[in-house]
Amino acid sequence: MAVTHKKVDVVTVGGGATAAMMAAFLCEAGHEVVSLEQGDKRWTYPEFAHNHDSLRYSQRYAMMIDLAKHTWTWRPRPGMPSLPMRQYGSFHPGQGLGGSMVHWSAQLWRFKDTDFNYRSHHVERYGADKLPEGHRIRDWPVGYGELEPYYTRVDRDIGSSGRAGNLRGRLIEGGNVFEEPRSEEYPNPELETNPHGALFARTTRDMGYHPFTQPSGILSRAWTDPRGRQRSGCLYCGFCTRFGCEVDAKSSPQTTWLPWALETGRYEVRMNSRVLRVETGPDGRATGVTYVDARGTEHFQPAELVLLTAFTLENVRTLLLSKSRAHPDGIGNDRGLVGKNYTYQLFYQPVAGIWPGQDFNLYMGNTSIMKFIYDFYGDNFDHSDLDFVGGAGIYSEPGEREPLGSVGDYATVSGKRWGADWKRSLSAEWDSWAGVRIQGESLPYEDQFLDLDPNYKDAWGLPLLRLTFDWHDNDRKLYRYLAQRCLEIFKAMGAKRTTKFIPELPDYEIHNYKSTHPTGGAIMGSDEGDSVTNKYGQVWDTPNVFVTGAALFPQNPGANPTGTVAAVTYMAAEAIRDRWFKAPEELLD
Amino acid sequence: MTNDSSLSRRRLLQAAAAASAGLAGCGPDPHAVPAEDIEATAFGPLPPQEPPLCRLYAFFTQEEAETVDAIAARLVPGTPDDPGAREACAVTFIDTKLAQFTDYDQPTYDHAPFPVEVDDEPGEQPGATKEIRVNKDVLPRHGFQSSLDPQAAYRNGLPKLDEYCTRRFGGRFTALTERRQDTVLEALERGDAGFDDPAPDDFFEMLRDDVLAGVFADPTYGGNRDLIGWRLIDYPGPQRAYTPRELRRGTAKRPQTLRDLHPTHPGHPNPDALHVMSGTRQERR
Repeated sequence: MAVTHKKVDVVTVGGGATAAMMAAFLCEAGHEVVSLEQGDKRWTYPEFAHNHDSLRYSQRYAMMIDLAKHTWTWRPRPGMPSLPMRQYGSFHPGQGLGGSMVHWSAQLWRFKDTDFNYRSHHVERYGADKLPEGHRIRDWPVGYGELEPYYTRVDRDIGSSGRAGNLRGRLIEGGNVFEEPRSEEYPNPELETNPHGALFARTTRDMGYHPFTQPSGILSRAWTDPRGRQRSGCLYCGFCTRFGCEVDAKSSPQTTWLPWALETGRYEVRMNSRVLRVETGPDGRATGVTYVDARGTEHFQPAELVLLTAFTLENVRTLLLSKSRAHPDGIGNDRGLVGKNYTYQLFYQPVAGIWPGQDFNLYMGNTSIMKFIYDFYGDNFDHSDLDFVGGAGIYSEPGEREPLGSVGDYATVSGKRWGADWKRSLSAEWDSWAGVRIQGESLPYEDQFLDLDPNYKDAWGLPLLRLTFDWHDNDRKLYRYLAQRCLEIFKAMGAKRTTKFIPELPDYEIHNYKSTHPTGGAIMGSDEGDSVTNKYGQVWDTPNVFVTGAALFPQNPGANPTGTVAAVTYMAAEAIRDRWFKAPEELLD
Repeated sequence: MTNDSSLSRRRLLQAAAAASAGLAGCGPDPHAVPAEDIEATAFGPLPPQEPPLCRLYAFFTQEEAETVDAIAARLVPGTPDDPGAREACAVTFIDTKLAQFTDYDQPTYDHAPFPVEVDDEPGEQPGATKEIRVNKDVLPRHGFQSSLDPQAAYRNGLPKLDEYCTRRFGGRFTALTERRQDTVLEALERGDAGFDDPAPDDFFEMLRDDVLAGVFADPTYGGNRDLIGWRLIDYPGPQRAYTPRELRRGTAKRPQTLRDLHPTHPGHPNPDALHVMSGTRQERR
């Protein structure tokens, strides 16, 4: 028999970043918010206090969702059989208080105008025929101009580190001169870089490109946040991605929004609480959520407003599983659009090699110390004579290299992966071995989507989410072009030996890590007939359910999503706080 | 109605009341966290307090351990002057892992249906419960899909490896010359060794991954004795911090292990719990 709780204003599915952001806004305005988090609680003290355990966190994924209980299935194309991702591969979503923003790489971007108005921009510049066959590219219902103030507030709240490349229209060398204008300089200066990054920057500058340091949600110096919390600057310790930060230098819900929300006394996070579905009444409005605790007891948490604040894939799945008479195919799915526009990201290292005798100190640092060029990102370069659209950021070797995560990939000149020569060679070259990488965009197609798997279930007996995804011709052509640009840079950087050059895009496979940036599935739009939510993430067919996070993205640019997820969440939180409660039956405009 | 794992002002206030009572008396400081609890909430068992003794096996039989040790000595060869996986006690790392975990040492979804590879291109097969057919060229793209857990893989694989060695060269792996041992490992790596469950190339990759972990993981897990692995690649182990100057120029820091890395601020109270536990809103400086 289900336990029914007292009704609250807001319940969130998931206790991660966007839940904490929403709670910070809404609790301060007087609302009671409950978050249901499937994982356990964790804080800087004590849980991150001594956590440089590479085996535990990087190889054994101590902060990630427990795949034994649920995972995602995948197949390349429709009609093919799908199999579960049985062990961690392509992406690493986290669980526990703070979610994935505890172990993230803190790479922080603002998307470009042409990322937001992708469709209309490309049609205007190149004609509709330039867009790839079978695509589902859409304009976002919101643009950079509308989001800029929210991007800026996020920067101020977390103390982001970087150098502006475009400050109110003035271009600044050393920053990203391709970025949209920002109204303020970053609160903190850019992070340091390692010798490989410095070499990349010198080389690309000499080649006529415009290198800059990765903008970051990691503090480059000690800083006091807007509420008086003192946080340390980065220690460049080399244990960043997949770890919690023990000195609060890496921004997370724990450093920022959680304390603000908890301080109000109106925020509660229930741990080890697994949401099964959102319940709806006969009028089609959500009434609350059903969840299961660690002992298997079912609970019902009634609420005025339901926010889906879990990982992208889980938010889409929750919509699909929340079936009722009013929503027979799930919430938001009255027009069959939930699951459409699933996209990912092109993360590859096309070329790598050895600079003998040079130590790059790659085991230090974090994943925000790279130098980037945006000269080949998005539509920053003229595609008139090219047979593809889109682009990628190109960057130098990240830091935080751990032995366990790297020695297995090392091979000798002759391709040997073990033995005496391999050992000798590894010994000489481990810290001289680096490459040039790309982070590229991913376009949506009709044959790329999310839905429920016909065979595999989770620990609660519910169908897993199935990903149907593969690279398309545009991706291959984009990669081919960018791989050549990477090779040019790599050669100009003076590597003495190439250990790897991959000129053609490999088939998508789910077992090698790329990025934790699956996006789409519950996209925002200005047209009810063509999207699942409006620009606030409000579900068109269920005005008291909102989706947050990257499920809202119509397609994925070649940049990490968190900055834009935060800005959109701030915009939505403000709208909910100021307008939704006054007219909860209405769609916000 | 809140359960034990909820954070809420009310529950933390109750805890604070209990804690203050403790403070007032001579009970332990409620904010001090015992070392063994620091990672207790993370997924999976804690690392062992002391590294396990080299060559005392909890999972392997003596014979199994000798075979794995011999394999390790070929994958990362060594001599007393230039030590490798045998000297690093990689076999103890692997043994500890197999003994400590019931099956996998990482989150693993191990439910049926499991794939069976076929030449043709099967469809979705809804309702498949035990097996599901997948084209043989597509299957590798799905990554790990075995129904054999690591313990079973070793238990099954090692005798099959010895049978292969005997068929090919007239003796078990440990009885062969180094050259022949390498030939056998190359055959395994190619998937060319005439056995299954585990498939020889899957078995090879598992051995290689485990031996490398046995050489390069923190010594607290049983391998990497005398920091053999880290000295090989000039890696100073888990340090607390590097300065920007070190990031640019390199470090003179001596190698250290996890046990040498002291927690930051041991006993430091959680500022958020403390804030709420006070019962009143603290003044912000």
